[in-house]
Amino acid sequence: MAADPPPDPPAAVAFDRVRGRDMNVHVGDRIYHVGAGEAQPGTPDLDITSLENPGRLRPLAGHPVLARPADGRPVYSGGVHLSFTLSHNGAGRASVLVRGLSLEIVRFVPGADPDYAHRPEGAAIIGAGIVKPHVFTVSLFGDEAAPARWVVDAAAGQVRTARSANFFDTEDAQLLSVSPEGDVEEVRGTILAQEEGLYEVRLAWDYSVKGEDRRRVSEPILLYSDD
Amino acid sequence: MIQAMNTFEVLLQARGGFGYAGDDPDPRPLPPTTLGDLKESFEGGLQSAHRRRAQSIHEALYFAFYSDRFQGEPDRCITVPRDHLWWLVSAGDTILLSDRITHHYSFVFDVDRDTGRVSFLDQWPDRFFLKEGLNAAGVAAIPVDGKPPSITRKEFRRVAVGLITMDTPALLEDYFDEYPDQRSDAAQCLSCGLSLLGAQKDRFARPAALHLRRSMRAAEARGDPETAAVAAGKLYVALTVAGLSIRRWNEPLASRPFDDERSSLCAERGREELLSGLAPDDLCRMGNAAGRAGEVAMARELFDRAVALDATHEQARWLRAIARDQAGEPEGVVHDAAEAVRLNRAGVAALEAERDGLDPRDRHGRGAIDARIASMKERRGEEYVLLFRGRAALERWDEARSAAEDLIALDPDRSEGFKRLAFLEQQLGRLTEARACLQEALQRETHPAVRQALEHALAEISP
Repeated sequence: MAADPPPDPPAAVAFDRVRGRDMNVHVGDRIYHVGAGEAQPGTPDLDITSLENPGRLRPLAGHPVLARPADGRPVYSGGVHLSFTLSHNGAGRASVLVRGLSLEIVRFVPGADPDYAHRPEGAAIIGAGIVKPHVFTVSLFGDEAAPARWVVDAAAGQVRTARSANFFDTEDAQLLSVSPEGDVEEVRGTILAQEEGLYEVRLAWDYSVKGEDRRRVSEPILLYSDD
Repeated sequence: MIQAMNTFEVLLQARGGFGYAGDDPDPRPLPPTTLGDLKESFEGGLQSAHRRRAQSIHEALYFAFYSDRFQGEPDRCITVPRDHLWWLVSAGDTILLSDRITHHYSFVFDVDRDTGRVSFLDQWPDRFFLKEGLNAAGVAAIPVDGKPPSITRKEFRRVAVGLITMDTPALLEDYFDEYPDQRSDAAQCLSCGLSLLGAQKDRFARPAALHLRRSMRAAEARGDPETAAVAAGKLYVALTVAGLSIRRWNEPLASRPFDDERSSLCAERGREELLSGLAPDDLCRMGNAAGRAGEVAMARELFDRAVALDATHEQARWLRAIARDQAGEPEGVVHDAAEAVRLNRAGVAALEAERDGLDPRDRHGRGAIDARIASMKERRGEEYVLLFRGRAALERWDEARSAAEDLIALDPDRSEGFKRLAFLEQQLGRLTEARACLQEALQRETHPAVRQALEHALAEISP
């Protein structure tokens, strides 16, 4: 007889918790089913919306989306805003424990490239004021990614910086769990390319289901900076 | 540079700044405002202050500068190399800051060029995004020497998108003296000229001509005929307005240099070629300057061109009606004034629909549209007067009465409509009605000289 699933731990403070299971999930969104420890059909697993779904990757204000000459793939100038949702796949009763989110730099080509010469549109930089809470920011400096930073409360000066490559490894980190009956977790953030060059990066999610560690990775994202 | 920080802003900061509307559970949407939009809004306020005599520096205007990291708004803002923003920034400036994620307008409190720090008097100082940890640019604003939070020159370079400063046209010359190589930057010189022309004051046409001439020559030198043609067309506008506005002050010889240069520009490029590249607004501007200088035929020709280019250009119709009125062509006045009124009504209806479509809490957006509507309705009043004059000159009395009544309905608290009705009744020999209208006009008129004239007219037709 299977043991009762553990109770849901509270959501991590850095998350923008979304109430209602269907909120922010687009009809027809693709989800990831790739990576190590792939689940068997009909068993509990983590659903992660694909970054290739419409609106999940958004260019920075005023920054053009360029195209890689070789294959026309989008190259986000300066950086990219991204979002995804985490939810239980609805199979079985066991909760899914999300342990980590990290960024892998697949490739970095340093230096300016005339193929990607651009200037952001100043008229699209609209002064609107205040740092948004509960989103992460990761800055890329060549082959290295700075630790993720979460603004919890700008007015109170509450900022959390990850202690490792895991975005969730903050000072008051709490484990995130998704259950079959639980909420959908929407995570939003921005990756900024700070050092000049072309970056190929991807996100990686580490999670556990019934004691088994699994890993998923996103499609590669191309970023370019010449600033 | 003119220091614009006012006491109100300083006191506001001392009391903790504005409440932040974004803290509301359902905050009102912000209208998207670019650096150029904000500059034009400030400029409108400045010109209004000049008219009210609340601001006495008549050479003052606002300039907006973008860092060349960005494509600016070249028709109303000047793009400069990013390092030059440090030379331009001064206390009182409005500055657009960005770390690529958060974009924010703030005020410059002080620039200390000796220590290389710039401090900001922000509206929401507690959560100013340049404080350490709140931005992605690695900037750490800290208070130094008792001043509000400040950042270093190097940090400023990373986050400054652009700034708005109030100054005089001399600022641009000082800038070019500091960075003489920029004089050969055709695009930058063109933006300087357009910024001055865009301030809509004839006194700035003269310095505008200097920058537009430079732009044209620089573009020619580097083989850029497109920019050279735009600069040449705008130079023609600037020379025309500058020359005519000086002539207005009864200094005939003073306009000679502008007239001569305009002639040689026409000889070089052809007048038709120059005029063909201009928009109706440019043609109206020159026509208006010509009309004010008494060059009615020239004004008329320019307004004809503007109407030919865009028959639905209300301002062109209105101005041509004035020129036709001065030329004694009542049929033409009636035609253009009636069309101007029709276009004005349609324009106001479109603006009202735009305003009514805004979020009800967007009071700034609604206020801005209401100001435009009020300005358009004021112009419609002048169009009704022209319509009345034309119809009265043609002795089409019923139609003239209708124009006067429309004028009263538009602004019942002013004397204008009643004055016209009084004239009409007098012309028709209905002196009792004429007296009643003059009484109505007198009740509303506040200008002493006009009141005196009305009293005189009333006395003349009293039994």
